[in-house]
Amino acid sequence: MKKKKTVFIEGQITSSFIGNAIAKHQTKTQIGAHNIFLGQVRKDKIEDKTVKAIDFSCYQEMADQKLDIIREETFEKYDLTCMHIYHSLGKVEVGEVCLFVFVSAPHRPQVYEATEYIVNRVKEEVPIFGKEIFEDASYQWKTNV
Amino acid sequence: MKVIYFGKIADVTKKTVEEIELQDKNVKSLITFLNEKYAINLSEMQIAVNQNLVSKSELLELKDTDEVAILSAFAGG
Repeated sequence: MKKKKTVFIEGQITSSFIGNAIAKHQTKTQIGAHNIFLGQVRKDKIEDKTVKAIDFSCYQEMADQKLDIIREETFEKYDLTCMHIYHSLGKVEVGEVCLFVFVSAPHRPQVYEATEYIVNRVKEEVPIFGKEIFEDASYQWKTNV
Repeated sequence: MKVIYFGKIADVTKKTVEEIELQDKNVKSLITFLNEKYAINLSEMQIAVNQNLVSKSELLELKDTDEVAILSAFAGG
């Protein structure tokens, strides 16, 4: 029976959550290298409007399946000790973190490549949708390009 | 057949789920239906059948028990 991984977090991913995640790995003493990617909501200007927040939603069943596949294929491709992916759902304000990818391995080269690989696949393959809410309360749907 | 909508598509259809009866139960006629009813363009949507993306050009048959989802552009990260 495979352990069900929690990926989605309501609201922003706080720095204390990230700090705790790092602390939990101190007992895994075969690790020699961690790499972390944090996605932060950017204060984009689109024409004359400014982004205030992004409201994320997802197709949960499909997202969970895709994330399982990404996880499995990342472990096959790279020699990692562990990896964690967290993504926000709901409203995340500009300057707050909405994606946290955390990769650990005995040695350094693997973690850089694996992080890039995971982030790219999450953006391309996981059915997550984002509504960019502007300061005037109007919105548009975000598209990954 | 139950069809579920996500992201911008749900905004356009103003609903997240709909029961649709198609004469020809396949992906192509579903696209035609969505285009006629909601004016959703092919380029704006992706279709997942039982959580797997399917090609929009194929005549993939749809069963009443399939979970069909219409997805707008992904925006994770």
